[in-house]
Formats: sequence, structure tokens, C-alpha cells
Amino acid sequence: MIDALHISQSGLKATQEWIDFISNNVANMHTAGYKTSQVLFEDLVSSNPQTVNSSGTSQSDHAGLGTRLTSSSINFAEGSFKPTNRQLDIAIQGAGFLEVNQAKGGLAYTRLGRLEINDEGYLSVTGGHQLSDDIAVPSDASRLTIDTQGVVSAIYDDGNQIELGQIRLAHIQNSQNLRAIGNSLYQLPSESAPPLLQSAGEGGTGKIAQGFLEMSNVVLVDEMTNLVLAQRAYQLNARLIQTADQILETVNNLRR
Amino acid sequence: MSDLISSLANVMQAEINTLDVIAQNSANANTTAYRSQRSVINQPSFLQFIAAPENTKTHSGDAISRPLDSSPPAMHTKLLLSDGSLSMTQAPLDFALTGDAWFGIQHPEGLQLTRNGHFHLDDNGTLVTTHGYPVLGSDMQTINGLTLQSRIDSDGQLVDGNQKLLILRALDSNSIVPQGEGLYLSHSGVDAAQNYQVIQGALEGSNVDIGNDMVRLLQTTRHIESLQRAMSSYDSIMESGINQIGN
Repeated sequence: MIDALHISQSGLKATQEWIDFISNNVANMHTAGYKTSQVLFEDLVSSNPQTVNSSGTSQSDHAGLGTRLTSSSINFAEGSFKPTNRQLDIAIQGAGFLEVNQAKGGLAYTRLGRLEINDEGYLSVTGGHQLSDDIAVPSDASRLTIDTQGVVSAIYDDGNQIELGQIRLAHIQNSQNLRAIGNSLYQLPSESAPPLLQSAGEGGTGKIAQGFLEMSNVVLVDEMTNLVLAQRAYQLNARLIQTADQILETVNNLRR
Repeated sequence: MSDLISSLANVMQAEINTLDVIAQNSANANTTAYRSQRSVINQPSFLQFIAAPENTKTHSGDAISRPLDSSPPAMHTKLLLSDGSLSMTQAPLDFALTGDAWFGIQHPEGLQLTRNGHFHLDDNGTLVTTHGYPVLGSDMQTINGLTLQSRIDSDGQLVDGNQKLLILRALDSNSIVPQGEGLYLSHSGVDAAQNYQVIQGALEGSNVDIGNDMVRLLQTTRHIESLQRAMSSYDSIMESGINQIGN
């Protein structure tokens, strides 16, 4: 009948999903290690072949089929660093990720360096997922230091210092493939090769800062701007549905 | 007898198609690098509508018969190629273009154009679009040397590298047809773009002019209403003609 109804409907639907993403970003504004989700829209057109007439102008019977929210990508830009003075908090000043073995098996990646010592005495991230570098922390150590290269050392009361291992960082080039699995953890699709682990500071992975925690990278101004845009786009599409309805009414009144 | 009615109906259908175009623009008001469309109702059908062609005069010379063209007034859409606004994303693999220029994309069906520079690297390190189609370099090969640290200058040239993005221009901007997914096809061939700028870390918005579309929406609705009025007036004339003269 009138395609405009369905085209505008697709606009409403896509805008609504956009608002969902915006609210998730705003809700996680203070979540440590949260990465902003960004959305991307694209136009839909009919798959009917469109011809070009002799004068070179393109003829199309259909304006298109509306819009669609295609992909949400995660913006892995660095968030701000908050000093916590907790010896097991680390922040990564670069693009690297910590690699962890999930409790249920499989590798996962995270930027959130709120480390813990799990029940087996290994360094792990929140949720008990152990760092894949398997660093055991002796229970009698008084203090841990983690240097910018990720070398973890235990310091004892008597001043002895023992190197326990090195936290290496994963350098993920195709970071758009990462899927969030909650708790600031991300997973690569099973078919892609696991990324190389490098010492912190090598190959763009970034140095490690002990005693800092990376906060979210949500930019509130951007989110509010997007919210205004989304609201207006929603109104615009709703207005078009009203108009299409009005035109249908006019058409219905052709014969009174 | 019903020629006028069917002609009016055809114009009405053309206006309803115009509404679809406006709806498409509004639905895509926030689509990255979407090019706004404008519907053009082909001029000839309206001329025919106003003036009867010479050869339809009757033998007595009265130019009263008016065989209106009852085929639907052809409507075609034109793409508006003005630049959209830029939004800075700071993502290293987001690119925006200004000027009459397009990125060249290797699509399974051949070379296609896009303004949407939201690219990324696939598992093999090749620069690809959101849908995984490779982005072409100026040597018509895929681009493999980029990293997240790469810098691209305003000509599309990789700084510290010899690869360059393929930036194209359609020979006839009227022959660009949308293919969906932000891709466009030029039916007139392409050559290298001249006046353009590549901006890294930004994405181009759509160039939909909402005010303009709203005015067109107003025109379209009112035109449909007046067509409806014309049609019902004609209908009531016919009614008098049939019922009253027959009495």
C-alpha cells in the first residue's frame, strides 16, 4: 500500500534500539573498564534491479526500504585512569588486553585490571578467571609490585624480593570481532586465531600502571547529543507515519 | 470519460511514491554517510497534462479533445551529493570524505562506492567494511599494511607506507544508484577524484535536510488532498450529468 508506513516503522525501530544503546552507555558511566557501544545505521533498498534510462538518470520505482541498525561496535578507546592505591589494581596505558582462562574453559580478554588472588593462589580477574600467564602468589609475601613491563615480584617482610612471573598483554588487531560476555570480559570468535601475547610496552600493547584502575570511556556529552538526535529522529518518523495515515484517509475519502 | 479520473489517480500515485522517498530520507536521517534522495516527477507528463498535443485537434479545428496520458507520471529519484556533517570518533580506522569523492569497495558483484568509512581489519589484517568487503587501494589491490597505529593523510596516503586509499568520482553523478548497506553503484564509470579530503578519526553523517523534507511532506499531503478534491468534484459533475440530465 503505502511503503512510507513501513519505511518509517523501520526508522522508529532502529531509533528505539539506538536509545537502548545510549541508556546502556549512560548507565555504565561509572563502571570501571566499561567500553562505549557505538551503533551504525545503514539504508535498505529493494533488491529489484534499478535501471538507468537513456538520459543517464537512474530510475527507481522504490525509494528504498528504510533503515536498519547494522552493527554495534565497541569503542576500545582508553578510559581515564583513577588512582586507587590498591597494589592489585593495574591499568593498561595502550591498546593491549589481559588474557584470562575462563572458569568454564576458553580464553577471554579484558581491559579491567582489578586483580585478585583466587582460591588456588593464582592472579586472576574479578570472577575468578585466572590470568593465562599463571602467576602463583606465595601466601607469605607481604607486598606485590608490578612494574611497567608487567613483571610481578613478591616482597617479603625481610626485604627479599622474588620475581613471580610476567603479565603479558594480548595485542588484538581486529578488536571489532570481540564480543562482550559481561563482567568487562570479551571473547574472540572461536574460529579466529588467538592473538600474540607480548610483554607490556611492546608492539603498541602499552605499559602497565600499578595502583590505577581504568574507568569507563563513556563521554557524557556525546551520549546526550546522541540522545537528542535519537529523540528527534523518533519524532520525525512518527510524524511521517501520521502523515501516511492522513493520506490513506484522504484516499479512502475519494468516494464519499 | 474516466480519463480525467485515471490521470488524477496516476498523479496521486506519483505523489504517494514521493512520500516513500521522504520516509526513506527520514528513516535514514542518522545513517552514516547516507545520501539524501529527492523525487522528481518527470516534466513531460505534466506538460501533456496542461496542453493537448497539436495532432489531437478535431477536423473542425476545435482543440477540445484532450487525450491525457494515462500512464503513470514517471518518477525518478535523484541523489543529493552534498557533504554530510562530520562527527569525530577518534577511532583510527574511521574515515570521512569531503568533496565529490567515494571510497572504492571490492564487492562480489564488482566495484562499488561508499562514503561510509567505518572500516576495520579482518583476521588477515585486510582493511574491510562493516560487511567484510575489502577496501581498495589506488593500485586496485586490497590494503593489508594498516595497523591501529597507522596514520592516513588528507590525500588518503598512508604516512610511512606506500599504500593509498582508492578515492573515486563518478563520471556522471546522476547515474549513481543506491545498493543498500551504504553502498552505491555508478552506471557511468568512475575516475580518480580530484578535490577531496580524507579525514581520519571521523565519520560522515547523512546529508538529509529535514526541513526541506518536511516542506516536501507538506506539499505532498496538500497536493494529494487537492487531487482528491478535484476527483470528487468531477465525480459530482458526472453525477449531475447522469442523473439530472437523464430526468
